[in-house]
Amino acid sequence: MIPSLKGRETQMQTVYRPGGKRHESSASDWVPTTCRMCLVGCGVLVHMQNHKVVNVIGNPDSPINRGRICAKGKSGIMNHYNPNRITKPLKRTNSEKGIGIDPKWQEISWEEAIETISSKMRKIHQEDPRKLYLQTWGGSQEFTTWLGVLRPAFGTPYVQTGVSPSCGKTVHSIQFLVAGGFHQEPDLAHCKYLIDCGTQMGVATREGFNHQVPDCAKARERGLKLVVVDPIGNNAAAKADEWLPIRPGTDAAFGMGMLNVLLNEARIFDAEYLKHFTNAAYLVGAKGKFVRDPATGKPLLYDQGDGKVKTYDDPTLNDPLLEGEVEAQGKKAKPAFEFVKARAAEYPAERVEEITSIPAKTLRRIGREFGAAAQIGATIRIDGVDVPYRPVCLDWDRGPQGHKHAWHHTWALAMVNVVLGAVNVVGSIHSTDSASNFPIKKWVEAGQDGILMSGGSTHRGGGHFTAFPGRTPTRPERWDLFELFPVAAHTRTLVPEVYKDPGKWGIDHKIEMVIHSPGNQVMAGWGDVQAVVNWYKSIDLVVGFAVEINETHELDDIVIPMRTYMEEGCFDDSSVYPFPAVAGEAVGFCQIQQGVVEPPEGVRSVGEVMTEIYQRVGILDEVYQALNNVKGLQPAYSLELGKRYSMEEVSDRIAKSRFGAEYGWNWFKENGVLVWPRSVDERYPGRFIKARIALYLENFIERGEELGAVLKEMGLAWDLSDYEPLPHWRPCESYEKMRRGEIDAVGVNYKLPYAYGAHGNANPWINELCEKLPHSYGALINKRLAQKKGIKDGDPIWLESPVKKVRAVARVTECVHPEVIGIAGNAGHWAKGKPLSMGKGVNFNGLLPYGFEVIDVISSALDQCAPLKVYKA
Amino acid sequence: MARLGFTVDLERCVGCMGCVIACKAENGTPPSIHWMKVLEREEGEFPYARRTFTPVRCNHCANPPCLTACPTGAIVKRADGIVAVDQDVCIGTMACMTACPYYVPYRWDGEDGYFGKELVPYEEEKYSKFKKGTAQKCHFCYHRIDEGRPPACVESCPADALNYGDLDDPESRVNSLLRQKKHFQPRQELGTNPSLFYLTGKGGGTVGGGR
Repeated sequence: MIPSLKGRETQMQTVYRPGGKRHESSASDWVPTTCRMCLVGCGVLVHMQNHKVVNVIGNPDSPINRGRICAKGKSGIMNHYNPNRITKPLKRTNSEKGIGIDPKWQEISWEEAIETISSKMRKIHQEDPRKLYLQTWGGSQEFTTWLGVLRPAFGTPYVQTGVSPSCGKTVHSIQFLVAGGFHQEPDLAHCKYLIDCGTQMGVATREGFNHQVPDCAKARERGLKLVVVDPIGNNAAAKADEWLPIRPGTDAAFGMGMLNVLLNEARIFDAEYLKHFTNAAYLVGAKGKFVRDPATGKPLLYDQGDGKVKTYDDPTLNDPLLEGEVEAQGKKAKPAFEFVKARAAEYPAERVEEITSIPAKTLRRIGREFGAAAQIGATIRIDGVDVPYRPVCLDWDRGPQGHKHAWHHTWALAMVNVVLGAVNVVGSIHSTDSASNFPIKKWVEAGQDGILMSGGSTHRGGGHFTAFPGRTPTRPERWDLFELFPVAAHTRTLVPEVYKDPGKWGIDHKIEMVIHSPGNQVMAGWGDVQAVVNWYKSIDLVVGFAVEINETHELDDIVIPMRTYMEEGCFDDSSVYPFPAVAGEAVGFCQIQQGVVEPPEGVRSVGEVMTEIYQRVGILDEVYQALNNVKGLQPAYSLELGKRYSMEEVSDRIAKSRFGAEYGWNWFKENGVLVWPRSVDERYPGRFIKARIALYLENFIERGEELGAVLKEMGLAWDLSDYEPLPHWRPCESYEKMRRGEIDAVGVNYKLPYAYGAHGNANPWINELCEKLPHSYGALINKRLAQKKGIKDGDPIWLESPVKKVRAVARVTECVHPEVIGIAGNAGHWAKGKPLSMGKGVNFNGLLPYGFEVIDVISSALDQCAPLKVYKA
Repeated sequence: MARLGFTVDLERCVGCMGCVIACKAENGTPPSIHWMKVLEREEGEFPYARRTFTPVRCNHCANPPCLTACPTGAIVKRADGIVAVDQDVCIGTMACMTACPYYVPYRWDGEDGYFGKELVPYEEEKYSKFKKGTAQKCHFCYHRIDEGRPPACVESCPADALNYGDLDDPESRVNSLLRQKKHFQPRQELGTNPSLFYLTGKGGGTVGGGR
């Protein structure tokens, strides 16, 4: 059942594997585990000498990184040995809380810490479980497992999964819509034309850097064309065939412009795919709604084969009409695709140029090139099976998600792939973890209206909800106003906004307790830091797990020391639930995270601490019951109620339940990674999924109408024009301010390959890099804007947003849009517990205005175009 | 006779700094010392501008000026072409620093670790190899070479931009790359005959950039 990766290793000529058996010499060992320096989770081998960590190398057995490991992963050695870490529970003695206010920490016993937390939780459990708010973090699975479980086990709806305001805001929703997966990445092994829009796929960052970069480098060498659409001339732009600097917040116009070139000018689209795998042929009648069969309520389409109007699932359906107008139920009706084309026609290249600053002729050329490269109709044989071959991918991620109209920006871009039939097939964009046959059978199926139905990722404790069909909105009872965002994946962005006036929303309970991971929610979780701090200050008991004291911990009441990822062990069920997957990869895999070094005396694992707390609260049975469900444990390995298990025992049960008695915790400790072959349908599930993609989001009309009624009842007047079935570009506030000349530039955040994800600048090796490299801690400013402002390279400058004014160092460059200030990573720390990163670089999120007016009414994404005035300091 | 050399593919390099840190993690170089660096520059004018990434390190020249200049004989050239500093012999005259046209060797006078005076366990283990006041530079991970392993930078490079091999063996990986791609040696005109070749692509692309 489980072959080795031997065949693959021949491709990895430069990878050395310290072979032989482990434990050959007691002084030196290579221990397989998972890197946790970011949420990706690459397989690593930690080199131990005399019980000290002396090196970390990539584990060649792990398909996610194939023996490679990035700068940050290697730097984990210094995170582990960080002398600023805490090893004893701490209690705040200063009742005043705020930025820069010394908490006056006092060391307390574990008993006092655990009892304080348990008694508060017990009280909340008896009164109202919704008073507990949890913040987990993709960077550490212990939190996902042991805090996430409280949603089913405790009854609180508040399980925050990521940290950043744009994290997964629309990307997961769109994966749920198009294929039922979670993340997206191109099948780089076959792709021929890659457009990166607001992301650096294949060059820097993203969920799988260490396999995407080699695949993309190889692809570039064989002729893949890389076009980077981004306000910043970043690392990806450096390696691109073309960099198209785009005005921030205009991605939807670019996407719609591409659609217009493809559908209306070049007339390139995958008609067969659209007819049979999407709802593009469904007939649309009055008010944009589908014409439905009166008897069954099913949407109708027109079959050109026999000239009859039929339901979408009629067994005689042969050739649905995609373009034109027909009569259905005595009225004129058009296929949804006609509306897609008509909407696209509102974006001729000249208009797109005005909005985006990308020249019309460039857009037309790129659109036609991209369409031609899609090779509509082509197939390729993979392992004896003919699979559609569409070697083009328009990838997008963080950039287009961080806007007031995030949904429309990202859905417009996603549609470019869909109309070309380039989804989850060879060479196209992939929705990773979309389908699997082993060890868990997972295939999305057709549901309401024949549409692909995904359960989202809500089956693990926390998680994201799907946008189809969405939920019926009601008056809110939750702090995140989840009820008023009927198609959003999650709405945690709203919490500090609601705090400003909970009564206004009719919220009847208070958040009395927060337990958070070290994900640094205060600094990176929302925008305007003061709004976040105000909410944290209102909470009776804030408990944080910490390796070192970051900006969020400075507001804590109790801090619990935690193990580093080199000390912590759990059966890694990965952030990409249920298993990590690589687009088109021939093997599936599962790998372990295990303790490599002994933790400092007394420092327990998160799971152990929480188990002790759950036992004292009296909910351990409920927790085990929920874990049995969440982890899908088979009866022989389920956690028995009334017992208490160690973390090793829990891991052993999960492993054996999934892979059989032979592959328990000890097998994984020794071998690290388990791989198994994936069949063609799992690798390229696109046409194997028997369901249609909701290209035309009819459900948005109904959800919007329902929402309008609820809001009216509440006396609120929101602009709900975004609740429409097809994408449209609408400007965000910064765009308008620029147009009116009220600001000098729009602040844009971008990522550095060596500081991606969590744990950045407080690491001395990374900090040293950032100090030596020209751009990392500086503010990028285009030469033209710099000249206009009398700013020279290296000058101190002020960046002034409506909520914050910060001093920065100007880096005058040609590699940034002239209307943009580029700010990298998550810098500008102020926590005393992270002395190395204090005061270096700019805290981008802190510049962002925060409030309802800058939050997407569909997805609840926070607008990340920082309106800035820029001048010499 | 073997002559070990590197190829650095400027088209493939993505500027991720993986090699810089891989070198540091492997060799445990103290604060401020990077045997492996990636220079970030930019070329062109907006909107046709781009950042460029150029990995630099000791070129292990066939005719190393540092070796000739060293008055103590601390710089040695191994039979396989690796040029290394013997720290037990080096007294820190830094004649090598002046002689090297590539600004490679420099002197380490530090004492502290990355977190100050007190060294962390990793540093205790690693820094014992370094002698204060001596010349520092890349030694081609000769300890790995002797075990048949690639240098740390080559092993970690996610873009496969770095490769190494025997320049005297026509079938070696580096020679097959040199046959496939345009290339140049840094400051070839000086006659140092560096064992490092920058690959600039079969399409004859711009040095240090894309195509």
